[in-house]
Amino acid sequence: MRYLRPIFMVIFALSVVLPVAWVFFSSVKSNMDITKSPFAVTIPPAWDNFEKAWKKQDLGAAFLFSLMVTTLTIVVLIPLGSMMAYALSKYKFKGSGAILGIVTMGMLFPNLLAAVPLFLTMVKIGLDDTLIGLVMAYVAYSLSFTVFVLHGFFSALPDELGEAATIDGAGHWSLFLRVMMPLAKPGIWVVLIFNAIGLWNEYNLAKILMLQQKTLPVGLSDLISQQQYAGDWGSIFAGAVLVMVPVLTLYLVLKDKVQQAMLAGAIK
Amino acid sequence: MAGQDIRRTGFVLACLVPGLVLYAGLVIVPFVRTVQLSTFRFSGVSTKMVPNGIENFQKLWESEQFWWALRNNFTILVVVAPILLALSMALAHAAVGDSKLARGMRTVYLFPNLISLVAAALIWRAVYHPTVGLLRSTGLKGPQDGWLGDLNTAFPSFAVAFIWVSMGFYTMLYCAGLAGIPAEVHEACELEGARGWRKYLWITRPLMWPVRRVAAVHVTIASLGVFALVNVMTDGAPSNRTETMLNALYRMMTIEGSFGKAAAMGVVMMCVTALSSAVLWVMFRKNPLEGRR
Repeated sequence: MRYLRPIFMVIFALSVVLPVAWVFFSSVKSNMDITKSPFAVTIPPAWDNFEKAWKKQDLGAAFLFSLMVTTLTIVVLIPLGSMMAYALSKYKFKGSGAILGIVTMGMLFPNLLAAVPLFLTMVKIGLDDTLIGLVMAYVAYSLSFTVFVLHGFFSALPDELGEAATIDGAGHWSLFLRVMMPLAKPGIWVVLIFNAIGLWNEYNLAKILMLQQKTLPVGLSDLISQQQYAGDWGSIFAGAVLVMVPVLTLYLVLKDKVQQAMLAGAIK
Repeated sequence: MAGQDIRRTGFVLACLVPGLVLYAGLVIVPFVRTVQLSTFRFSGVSTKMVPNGIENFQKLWESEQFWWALRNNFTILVVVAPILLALSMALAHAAVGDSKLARGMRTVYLFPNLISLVAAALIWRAVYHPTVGLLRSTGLKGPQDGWLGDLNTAFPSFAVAFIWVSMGFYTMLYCAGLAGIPAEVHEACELEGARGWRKYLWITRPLMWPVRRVAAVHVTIASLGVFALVNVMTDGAPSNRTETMLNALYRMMTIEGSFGKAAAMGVVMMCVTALSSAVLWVMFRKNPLEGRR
């Protein structure tokens, strides 16, 4: 009985780690060894898989594009979401509850439900297949979660803070930027990490809106469908490593913050 | 006073308007327009839109793809998701606590939630693959067309990947819920001799009600919204056996080029989502502990 719990835990941990580790391991194997056996070792390691994936399969461009899209979206999303959440929590007016409800309701429905009209809108405003268009869509579809979480954090800050600062002569903006935003820092961390990971991995909207310039997940998915018949599994595995490494690195560095962020929508 | 009011209103408007315009233009309006577009026949940006009433819905009704998609999402929701939650609950009971091992294991469990679904899909596609796969060399060669190529094994094989991808999140969630149960409750159980299944059913489970509700909402959204995993793993093959509603919508829009039919698919999915939310609301309407205080 005493060993049952650890054994159970370790079995599940192995089922998680083994497939991931196998992909990392296979990313430095030659295609011949990949087909030969999952356990065959290529010596010296076939680093050229990464070179092929990065250059020939254009995943390098996709990697940089994803980095740009994620960064830009975060830079626009966090201020915009904070402003909305703050105004909706500290400046209640008739209809502010309804607005909050409508904005957060977006979390219930998968974004692809609106794929057809969203695509048509992007074409109409001339932003389909552009960086700006994708960033705008990402910001719009990330607002629900961001506002939901930050609204919780701002609501928890006492109203007296604002009153005290106003008596000291602080305007609305300086109260928001100098007092409230620093106090909401834990919430900002949560939405920052959650969105950064989600956007780096995002697939649905990029798949619909981008035809020429691909993000890394879409680039990898296209590589999979092209190369599975050509048999270049080496570059496929290398591509998977490219998409996983940044997130897993972030996780290992900021373990507690990432765990907190992943659960934040659920428990506060 | 009036000046202050104006400044206050100005501040609130400045905070809300930019975000709301973006949200309305790219989220609300497209969702509403999906309903309108579902009554037209058109196949792209430049083609003329011809009103065709409920023809798109009739086409859906007659297509096998639609029924498989509906059936598969339903199976994920009522069969796969409960298995996923039960496994997560069991694992959470094992992995709760502050021991070094438990903390380390919990760190590992979240990996699949953090990596891109495309990478997860690739991992499982590769694991099941008949010529390069991890399973083929461990004696689990599977059917002739591979685990994902066979009509009978494709869906269960996909379900395993779905559980693998999501289990870490629910385990963490349940661990947080379990850790939130006060020590006195455990002590009282010890004294009264309640343990094992009895303790779970009569003590732990009711106390976990708020967390279980959160899990139910999350798992419903995730079950109905399966896209990337299926799109990259199988794209619905073989013969629609792993088709889902969103993947069907995507294929109708891009490969078939029937925008109206894809919008109709979206409308059906909205109804299914709303209906599921209503069922959830009824199921988790009242905390069982609240009446007893």
